[in-house]
Amino acid sequence: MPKTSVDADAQAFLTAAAITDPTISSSINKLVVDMKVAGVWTDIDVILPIVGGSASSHRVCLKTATNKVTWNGGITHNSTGVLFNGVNGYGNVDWNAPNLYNRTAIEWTKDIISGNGWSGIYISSVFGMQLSKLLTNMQTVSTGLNNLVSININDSFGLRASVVESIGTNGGKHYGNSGLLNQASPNSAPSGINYYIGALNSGGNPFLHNNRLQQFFVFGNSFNAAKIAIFKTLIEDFQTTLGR
Amino acid sequence: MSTILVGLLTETQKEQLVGQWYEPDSFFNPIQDIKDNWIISLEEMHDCVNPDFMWVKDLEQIEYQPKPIEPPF
Repeated sequence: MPKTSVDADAQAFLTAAAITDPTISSSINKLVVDMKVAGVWTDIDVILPIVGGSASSHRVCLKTATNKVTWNGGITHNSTGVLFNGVNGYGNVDWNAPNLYNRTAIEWTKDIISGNGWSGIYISSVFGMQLSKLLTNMQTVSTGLNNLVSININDSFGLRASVVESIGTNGGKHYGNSGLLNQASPNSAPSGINYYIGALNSGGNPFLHNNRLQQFFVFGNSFNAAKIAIFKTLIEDFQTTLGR
Repeated sequence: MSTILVGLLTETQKEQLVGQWYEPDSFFNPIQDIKDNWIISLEEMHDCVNPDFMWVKDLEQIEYQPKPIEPPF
């Protein structure tokens, strides 16, 4: 039987995460190859496929084969993903940028256990007016300058992506399972603040903790609708091959 | 909504836990509840394997009452 070649980046991740399971290994290899074929690999800074079932394996980045998350508080790690407890659990992702425009955060949620918590970065001025954001919530999306309006989505699983393409009119976009959900108008670009998963990062303080079971995270350049759709398909296929 | 139980800490215990791991690659995160009690989650208590902090498994359990936070958007 011919030996199947393994992509070098996939193998580096599997080694760093100490994963030997054949199903996970083949799924990771296929994911990396598919991302490269689709032309999205180079746009990515951090990929967290959340496989291996432990805090140690779940913090390894597929793109760099290095640890990219510090887990804090109550979190349950197992083969289905990472479950935040909605009380004090969150992950501090070593990902920020000189400016947050031209940035995308994609999260894949398996289930909302309770509540309606958030992930991401939130910046407000001393007057309490929101200046900029990069955040996700499964069931509600805020929209408009300073987010004066909210719309209910009622998604309890799947993809949520937050994109800040630019500062100004409709430079911020939210995507869900069905595509573009809404557009907003960021009026500043925060810098130097890490993205939190499981809670919002407000100036280094986690708040609005969520109680979600989550399975995949991607952080990188700003992706257009076509690339968001590619990620949705790739992530969905990945979860299917893992049977979760 | 079902009751969430958490472990009650003294101020001294909180100081001892800050920056310490409870299982590999996972750190304690004491927070304050609505009465300014310092608490940690049941996950941190049950999953703790750090031999220096096994006493967290015996913490008094109280009902979690979060500080009220209004989403600003």
